[in-house]
Amino acid sequence: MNPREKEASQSPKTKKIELRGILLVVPTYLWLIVTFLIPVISVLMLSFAELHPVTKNIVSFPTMNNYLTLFTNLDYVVVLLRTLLLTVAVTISSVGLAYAVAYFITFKILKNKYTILLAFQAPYIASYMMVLLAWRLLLGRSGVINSLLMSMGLTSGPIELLGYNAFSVWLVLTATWFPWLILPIFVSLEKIDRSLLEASQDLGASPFTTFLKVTFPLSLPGVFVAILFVFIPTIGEFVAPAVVGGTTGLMFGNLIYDFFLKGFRWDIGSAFAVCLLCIVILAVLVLFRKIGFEKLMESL
Amino acid sequence: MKIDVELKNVTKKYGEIVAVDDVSFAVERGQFFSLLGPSGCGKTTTLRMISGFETPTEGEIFIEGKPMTNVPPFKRPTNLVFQNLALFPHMNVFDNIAFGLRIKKVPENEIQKRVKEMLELVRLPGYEKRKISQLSGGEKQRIAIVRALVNRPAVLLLDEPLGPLDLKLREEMIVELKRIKREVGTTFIYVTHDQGEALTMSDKIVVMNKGKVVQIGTPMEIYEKPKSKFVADFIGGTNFFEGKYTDGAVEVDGLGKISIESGAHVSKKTLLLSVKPEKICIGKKLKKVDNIFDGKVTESFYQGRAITYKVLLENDSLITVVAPSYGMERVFGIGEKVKVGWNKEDARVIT
Ligand SMILES: Nc1ncnc2c1ncn2[C@@H]1O[C@H](COP(=O)(O)OP(=O)(O)OP(=O)(O)O)[C@@H](O)[C@H]1O
Ligand SMILES: [Mg+2]
Repeated sequence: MNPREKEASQSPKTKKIELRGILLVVPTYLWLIVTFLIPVISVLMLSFAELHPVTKNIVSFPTMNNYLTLFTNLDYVVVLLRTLLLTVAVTISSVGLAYAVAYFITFKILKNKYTILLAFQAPYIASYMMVLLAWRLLLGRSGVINSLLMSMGLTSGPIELLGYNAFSVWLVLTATWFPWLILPIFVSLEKIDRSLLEASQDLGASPFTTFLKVTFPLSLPGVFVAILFVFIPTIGEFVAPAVVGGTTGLMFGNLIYDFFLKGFRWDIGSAFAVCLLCIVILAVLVLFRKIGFEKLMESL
Repeated sequence: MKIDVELKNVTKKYGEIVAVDDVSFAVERGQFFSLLGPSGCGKTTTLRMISGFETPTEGEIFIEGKPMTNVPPFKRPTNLVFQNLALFPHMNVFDNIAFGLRIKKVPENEIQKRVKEMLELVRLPGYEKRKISQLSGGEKQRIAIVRALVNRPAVLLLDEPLGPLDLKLREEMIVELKRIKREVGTTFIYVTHDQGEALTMSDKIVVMNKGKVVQIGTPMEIYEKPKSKFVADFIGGTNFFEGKYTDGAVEVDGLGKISIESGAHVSKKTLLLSVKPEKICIGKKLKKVDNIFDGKVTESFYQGRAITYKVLLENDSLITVVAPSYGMERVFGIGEKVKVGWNKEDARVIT
């Protein structure tokens, strides 16, 4: 809301409309509370409890033991750090790739823009599991790619990087995420008034400077949305690492999964999940502050 | 006189469409030069070619004597005020104005000084921190003008900058623009479809129609001595009379003789005369007027400063008369019989 609108909203009539708007939003919020807040609170409570491994009765509450388990075990800390690193890497590469494609479609393609845009979404016709399994066939020490390279005599042994490891997880996540991220970036690039870019050049900025000073800042809302789109699901990802991660590419999500469904340590699993949640909240807050979210959206 | 901008036989085609057709003109240093013409006549295209956003299909453009072919927009000594202003929404007023100077790596204290000067020039001191969305239409207009002017271009190009403003604000901005022009002395090329704006501000006007230049001249020449039917009609509207020339007068069918100035005639052939609406007087009785005809008022519009009448003459032609409301006897009603008349020097021979 810009200040003019704010002034306007002081009048009684607009206040009434505002109230009606709030009433419309309330049911949705209630739904959110039921489906989101209740599970989150349960997990939060559980993370401070110690359950009997067999009977699942609460042995002690509250306790920090579950959190201590995480931070005193170097293996877990390593997985956490790897997860953070992988998430940042996937975010940067997929948003970067999506930006390049979106930029190209917006400014360089004159005909059938929207068809081309849609074509990039084609991979999503296939289910995530199917795509992942295909990647599993392609990658691996004796996967399709390595076998082909060896049979053509291009390499003598298998390329280790293309085995089941963290690199493969990064590759697969980047490849599966970036088409989806093209959309928000495209929307904000397409929204930029072309005369602004001309005005910049008219004032002496080269095309590259124009990109840095005008195009990129004005596309930030799209970039911001794209970052959220990829960062949040990636930090909690457990399927891709399970399929192509091998032992060295496991992520934090896999630990939580195992505690809940294999080790039946819901208490420890909960503590791990809470840690993940805190990281996400922190990251989102930092991003909000950094970009000045509301201000940024307002100016457009 | 030094020539700042020169177009030599410039043509611009978009496929089959000829947007600008063999246009040539020269703009002298320090002139307020206007491109005037109806919508779609190629004004914006001409301006975009001067600023480098379009390349001429044929012909060449010179700025300060240098040919501009192959010079990209960001290297030309011109600055453009866009038709839609194109202020950067993610920057405040100061950053908008400072944009060009920062690109040119002007020292920061110099930038501060020049932006301040510019804001004073357009009477908006203290507006530095304002966001673009917090400005009124007229304020945006002024910021857009100084964002271009602060770079001290050889030529300032303006594309209908007053288009979206209401009448009152437009009139204020016209005065403002003339003052700014006087204070900075830069060459202005001003595009408009509004003859009033062009006449008020310009030193020289190019009238364009369908991509072609139809007349170049001072506002007075354009208005008083139109060379074509189009110009006579486009600039302020006019009344046409067609007839045969016979010693000192034009014989119009069903109306009679219209005497015209000696020397303005051509040989014995059909002539087209143009008489501007405000040069015609209207009354019950007319004295000391060279040509007087009978007519009947069919419509009248009271407009405050003036009254516009539509008068039906005896040859069934309808003419427009604009009578000043000053010193007027009374408003003539519809159907009333009146006399209309004009002096011979006010009838212009067009062809
Ligand atoms: N990129 C383009 N492609 C095809 N035709 C164009 C293009 N730009 C302009 N034209 C055509 O060229 C002609 C001149 O356009 P231009 O924008 O110069 O008109 P204008 O005099 O500025 O009109 P207005 O007063 O409405 O702004 C028009 O007929 C227009 O349709
Ligand atoms: Mg135009």
